[in-house]
Amino acid sequence: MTERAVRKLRKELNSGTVALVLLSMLEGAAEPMYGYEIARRFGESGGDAVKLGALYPVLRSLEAQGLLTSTVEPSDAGPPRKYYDVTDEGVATLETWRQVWEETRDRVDRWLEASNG
Amino acid sequence: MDDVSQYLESLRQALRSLGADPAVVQDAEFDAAEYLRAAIADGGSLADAVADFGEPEEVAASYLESERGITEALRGPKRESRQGLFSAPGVPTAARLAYLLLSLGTGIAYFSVALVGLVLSATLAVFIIGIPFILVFIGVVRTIGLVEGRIIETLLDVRMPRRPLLDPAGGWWQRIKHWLGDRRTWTSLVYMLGQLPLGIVYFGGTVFGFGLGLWFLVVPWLQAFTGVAFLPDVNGAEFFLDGWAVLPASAAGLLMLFVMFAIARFVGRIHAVYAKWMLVGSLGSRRGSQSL
Repeated sequence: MTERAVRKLRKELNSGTVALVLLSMLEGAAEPMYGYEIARRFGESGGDAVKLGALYPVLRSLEAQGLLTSTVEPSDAGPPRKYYDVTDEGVATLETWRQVWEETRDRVDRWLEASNG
Repeated sequence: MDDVSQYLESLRQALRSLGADPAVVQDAEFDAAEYLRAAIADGGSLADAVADFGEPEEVAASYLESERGITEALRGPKRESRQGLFSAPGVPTAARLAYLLLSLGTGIAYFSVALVGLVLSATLAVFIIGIPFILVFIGVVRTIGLVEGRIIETLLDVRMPRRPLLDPAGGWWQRIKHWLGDRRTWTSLVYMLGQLPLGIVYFGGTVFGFGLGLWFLVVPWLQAFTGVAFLPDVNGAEFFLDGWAVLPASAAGLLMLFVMFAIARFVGRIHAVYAKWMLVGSLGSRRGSQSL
């Protein structure tokens, strides 16, 4: 498999899961987080498969769907920061997404094991 | 011009070349500036920050991809423009009507804030306190522009910025210069003043038109069944419709309601275009685009 094909597969797999990861990260956070903070933690835990610039539109899309809320606050260090927090709808949605993800992961694992064995 | 500004310029161009909405460009710039400046403030180099964040073209593509997703997920592929005169009024029409009714309240509020701000700015300008007051006032104007944009996106279904306007890096003086030189500061102010007369017309027209339509629809039947006068007081005398006129009058009322729905959709669309031009600016104009 060429490197390009690997990248393409990664991108496709990531496209569905990034929103799940971000929602889960924000739900687990003690207080609202701002874009850079979210991106840094994502980068620390997740390798380099996803460009951090691609997280911001996902955050915005989650907000547009009512799963996140945000407030813009000025910062001493630079431009204003947009802090994101999970809404009640977001918490409920995360629960559903988590179930869907677990079912999908288990199913794929079973297929892979079956074809391997 | 620092290097982040150059990155933002490239991002802007990449988004424009992909045909992105000006509102998306404004949001994307806000996000990129936040990340890159924070990463540099954290001690990293711009090159590292860009390597993690993505090249302008990649980032631009992800915004467009996500924007398409948002539009489809929230609104569905069917657009309201397919509605003809006699289509049943749905949620979008109700939202347009809500905006027209709400515009009186917001119009009064915007107008009052703008007028008080302008008068106090002019009065205080001779004192030292005048300068910070004027700056706070300009900040308020720009914030109201964003808030009105959110209302318009929700009720009139037109993409507006979800982020505040990006201020340039480099101290208060730069920021003030940028604010004063930005066309949107002034068009937003004019928009706020104009919302009062527009709000009066929108609210008055909506209430009058629907009132009249409902009156013609309902009162002829009331007259037929309960004997209430169609018009209770015309120069001191009651006015009754002739018996044959009950049905046509009622039908005219119904037609009037549908015409009002169509007018509400039309005015909503026109107002959204006007508001976008005033509050967001068009990408084509030099001063309307974000200069950093």
